[in-house]
Amino acid sequence: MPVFWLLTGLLLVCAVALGTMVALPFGRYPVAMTTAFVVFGMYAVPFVLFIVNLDHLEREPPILLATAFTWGAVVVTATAVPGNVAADNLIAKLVSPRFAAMWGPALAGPTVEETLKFLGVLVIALLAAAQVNSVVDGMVYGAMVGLGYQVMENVSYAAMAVQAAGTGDRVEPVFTTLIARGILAGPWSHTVFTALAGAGVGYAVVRVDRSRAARAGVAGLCLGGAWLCHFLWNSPLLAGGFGLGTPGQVAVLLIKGGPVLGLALALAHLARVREGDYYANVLAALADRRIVTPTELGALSSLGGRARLRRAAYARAGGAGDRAARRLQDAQSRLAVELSRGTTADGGLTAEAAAHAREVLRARHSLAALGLGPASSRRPFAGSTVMWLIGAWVTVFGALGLALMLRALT
Amino acid sequence: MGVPHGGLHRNAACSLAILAVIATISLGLPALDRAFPGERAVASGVVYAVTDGVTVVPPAGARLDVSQTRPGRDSGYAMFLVGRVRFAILVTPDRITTAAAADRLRTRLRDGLGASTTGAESPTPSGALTGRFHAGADGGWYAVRVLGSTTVVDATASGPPDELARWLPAIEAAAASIARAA
Repeated sequence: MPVFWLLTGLLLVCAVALGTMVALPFGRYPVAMTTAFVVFGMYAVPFVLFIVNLDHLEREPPILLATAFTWGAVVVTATAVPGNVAADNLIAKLVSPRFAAMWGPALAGPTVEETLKFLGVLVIALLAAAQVNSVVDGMVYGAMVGLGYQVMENVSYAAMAVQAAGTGDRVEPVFTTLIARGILAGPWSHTVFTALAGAGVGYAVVRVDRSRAARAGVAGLCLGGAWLCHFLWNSPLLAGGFGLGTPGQVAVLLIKGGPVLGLALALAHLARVREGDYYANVLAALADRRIVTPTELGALSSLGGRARLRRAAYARAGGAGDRAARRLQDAQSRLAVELSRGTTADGGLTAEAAAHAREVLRARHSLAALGLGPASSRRPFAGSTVMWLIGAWVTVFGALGLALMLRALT
Repeated sequence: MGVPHGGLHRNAACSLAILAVIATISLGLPALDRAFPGERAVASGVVYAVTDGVTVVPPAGARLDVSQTRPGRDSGYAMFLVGRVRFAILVTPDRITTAAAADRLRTRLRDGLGASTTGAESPTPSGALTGRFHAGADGGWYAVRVLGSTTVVDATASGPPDELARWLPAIEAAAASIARAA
């Protein structure tokens, strides 16, 4: 497939270019740069956990998620650096250095970076179209592309901070960068921008019932939305922080970034509910209570609903109950996705769908063996392991950021 | 929702289009940037604002390199070309002493240019610390000043040693003209 060779070639060429870029700061500041890679590598972990759990019905193949991340980290970084510099210079030459200083990052950054990241989602869609089954899938791959670039951009900013500090191979500027760009600016940065753009790619790929122009229009609209969010984020608007110093700057971050993050999460929620309803209808059409019960159908579109059923199983049969309930839900999801791919010529189940149906029945028998009948618990959702991990990460790094801000203020 | 199917030709066409966009951004934009001249003449004896709060009177005959100039509100930088000598001014808001700022600049020169400082630093009547360095075949000169205890100004000049020697008096005069905006 041509896109595979395009991807391979670009990854090779851009990896060499990126290696050349990082070799110099690595040679000058080995301790600081190693710290930057480790810190921002760890920083990416909760983002990845959150992103892969966005689509709980159909987990994306790890190899494709890794490819999306690598596109962002390697291809986008290696090509955006010369593109950004050139675009910023052109603005300075065609308008003025002062205009470029104020508006260059807002105009050049989104134009170059959002385009390159968007192409990464397109490459994934061309490479494995069968894996892009929903708008949520597009958001997941978009978020991974954005995260890859966000991590490498933060590493490059850390290198620049170390150089600007003029104190040699010290790690303090790395942690300052982590607080400023990772924690305070990170939650509403490239990951969110490209998730929005990816939603458009997801729509364009799956809504084959719409005209090509309509699908291209929605994809373009989503890319435009991502560009606009990035533009506003980079713009000098409210740069003064209302004259309130650090608290004012933090307030501006929230004002500029909060709505973007809210928009992305709301879009993801709506798309997920729609996807869940779609797959629930696919399963309901089987009209087989051994495959799925009405209660399970109701829970299919909700992460909380699924967790509620698992916790009910846990309450009655411990960890084995929880695992058996999870196996059933995962098997039902796989069956629903397979059913959505179509049927045999005579309307029957494909071989893959039949295999997944047997998988569901085996999971159902495992539950029954534990004495668990059809699920109907109303036990309140108490959170999944992933959510606890993310919560712990936010708490620890939030406390760290707050402590450093207070220290800077006093 | 549904499952997409794409043909080989469409896949190839899309791949070529993606490659074309990437080439346009990573190669085309830099080529376009190089095609436009980046030097601008500056009026002799007229102050140039490096930031909203700091100005300089550039050496006579200097040209501004707009690619290396970004005047900002509290921080900014400007690059003037004087003959074959590059005269750069960097303004940053910071609360450090002149000696600490000079130490920081020497480290930056060492890390950024691979430069080695030569000789001892000497103070100037304007309160700056000045020194010399060399980086490869180029000679260099620097001056560091702290304006109003919150604004650090780094001025560096580098170029072929004979050119630097020729232009240094004018550059030193320009560095001495760096002041807070009226």
